[in-house]
Amino acid sequence: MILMHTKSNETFRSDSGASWASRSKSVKEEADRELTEAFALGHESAMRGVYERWSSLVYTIALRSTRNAEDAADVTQLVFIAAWKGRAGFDPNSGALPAWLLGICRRKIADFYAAKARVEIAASETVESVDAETVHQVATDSIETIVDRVVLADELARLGDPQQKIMELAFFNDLTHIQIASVLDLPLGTVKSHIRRSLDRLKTRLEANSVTH
Amino acid sequence: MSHIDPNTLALIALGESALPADLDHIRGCVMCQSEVDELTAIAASARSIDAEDRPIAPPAFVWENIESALNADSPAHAGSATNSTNPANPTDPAATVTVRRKSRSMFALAASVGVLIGGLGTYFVVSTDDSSARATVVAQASLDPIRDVKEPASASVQQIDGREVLNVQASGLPATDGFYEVWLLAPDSTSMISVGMLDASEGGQFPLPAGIDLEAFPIVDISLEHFDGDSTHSADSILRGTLII
Repeated sequence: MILMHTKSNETFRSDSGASWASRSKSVKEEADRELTEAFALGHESAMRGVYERWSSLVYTIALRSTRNAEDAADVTQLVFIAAWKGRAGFDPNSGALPAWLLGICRRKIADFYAAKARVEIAASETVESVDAETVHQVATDSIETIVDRVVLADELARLGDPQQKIMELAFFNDLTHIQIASVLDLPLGTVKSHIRRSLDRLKTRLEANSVTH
Repeated sequence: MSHIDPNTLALIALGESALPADLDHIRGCVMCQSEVDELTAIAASARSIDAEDRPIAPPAFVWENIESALNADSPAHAGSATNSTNPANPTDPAATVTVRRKSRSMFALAASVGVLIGGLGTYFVVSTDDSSARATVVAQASLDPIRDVKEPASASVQQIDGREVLNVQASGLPATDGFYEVWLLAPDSTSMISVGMLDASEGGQFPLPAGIDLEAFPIVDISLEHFDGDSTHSADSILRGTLII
């Protein structure tokens, strides 16, 4: 069992050295990978690191979904307890740890919506007016939108400067790359390639997190 | 014609102006077009981010709750409730109040529907030192195994400073992926009150809501629950006994 894990983790490590990785990114990725390995091997000390690295993501998605700080805290708690107890079901080869955590997060939020819907249906005299399937679909769609946005916001914050600043000016201030180069006093070519790489990185992260577990 | 430079495709996806020749190429090139479409979707999604989407850390008690839940579940830590680093230490009232309140609040709404009368909103901690000095036993029950339990278990209700506290002595509960929950049931089992979660290795003390009528809820029931977010009774009872008042 341990041998198998070691082997798969080595594969995992060698596969993800993308050529365009910036130094800060590869350092962060290395840290994430070590955490993932320790978690998959069941090291109790890894739990704290996993929590520190990804609890903000889970909590913010829960907060956006439940619109209530107390419920969001509960969801976060349930997600990490379930993750630790269910760690045997995590396969580092089938996807990244955050994607797996977000899968659990989606289910806990869906449970939350379901519990809330039960209360609303019970409280309402007109049970037949509630189309449970529609409610469920709307909830699912909104969870996905929220997950995408929070994951993008998280990745944006992890781009590091000047990439983060460049992308914020492009996304939120609608500046062209020529304007950005002038504002940040950077060469035009540098800004262009940062924009492309950052978009790729956001795309990779989004795809990794939408993997259905 | 060769494909458009990847950096230029990114700028086009962001909505920057482009050379007519490049736009012509993209319109006629499945590869370039699909790349622009993908990046445009990412940009659109990123542009919809608002301040509330930026990840913020959960409050500190969330980790404390997780840590104590995992400690309680881990055989290595079983029986270490007196460890001062354990936030669920029963001699630390502030920490325990938080743990109890948070761990039951999520589906409190759901719990109020149907057969449940409702869980306890707040958990008052009774110092074990005080309880030995001023406790009076007002009811007792032996708990009979329904399944999987070999050791006998018992429960008693003590009156301490005017409050009633349910003591559960159970030590032979099997290890579980879920957790044990303590309930008081009406004689016909149609209504019940959750009084708290039981440490499988140690038993526990559960302050009862003020004004509870033990004759209306005389059955002590320990159920095996799963981390499924469903706050209702799992219908999987492990131990049960009736209080003799």
